[in-house]
Amino acid sequence: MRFTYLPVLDFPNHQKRTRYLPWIRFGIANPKNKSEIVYPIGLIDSGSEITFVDYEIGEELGFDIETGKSEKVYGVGGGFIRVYYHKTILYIQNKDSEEPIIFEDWIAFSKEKFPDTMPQQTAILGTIGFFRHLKITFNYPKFIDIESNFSH
Amino acid sequence: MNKKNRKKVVNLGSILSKIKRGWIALSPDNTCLIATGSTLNEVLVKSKKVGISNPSVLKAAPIKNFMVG
Repeated sequence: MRFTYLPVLDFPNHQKRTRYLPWIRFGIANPKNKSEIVYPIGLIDSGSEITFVDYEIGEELGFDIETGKSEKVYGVGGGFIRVYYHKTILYIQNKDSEEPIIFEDWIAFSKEKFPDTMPQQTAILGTIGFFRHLKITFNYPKFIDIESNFSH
Repeated sequence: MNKKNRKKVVNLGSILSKIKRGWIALSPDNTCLIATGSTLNEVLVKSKKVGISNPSVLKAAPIKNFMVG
């Protein structure tokens, strides 16, 4: 299925600037309550080893965040945050008319918020929880094609 | 749907320049702003009230910053 890059138009120093970000809508659910799905917009980030989601999403889905396996994760600036892993169901679907790609995997939630300066504060889609289930083709700035690894 | 009739995806730069904190709900096709609020739960409740049970949700962020990772 095909996703578009999300456009960001702004005017730094009164100059028009357009950026196209690899941010997509995806669904996430708690296996204990599959009927409740939250649809965050997350950054597709092949440099991230884990998929990382804001804790409010986990709480909305009924996870008791701090009961998950805990680990520190580090960013490019050298800082770290503590995350808690929970098994979730992920839904990849661009349009309601398309059959979604559905898989279960571990997602990291944090009780801390993302650093204030980070331009993406909602979700980062990395290897565990995203890439290892999918074939992804980036064609910047036109589209991102996503297929299941297990469909053929 | 042909290109002319296709709805335009919302410009996040414009929305996030005005909303500095809290959460934002967009329509499922990301073409319009549905709700804002200080918590995720608040924007989900507001979206349901206007008939949208599956909005896209995003936390406000300084989108003008560049990111590496």
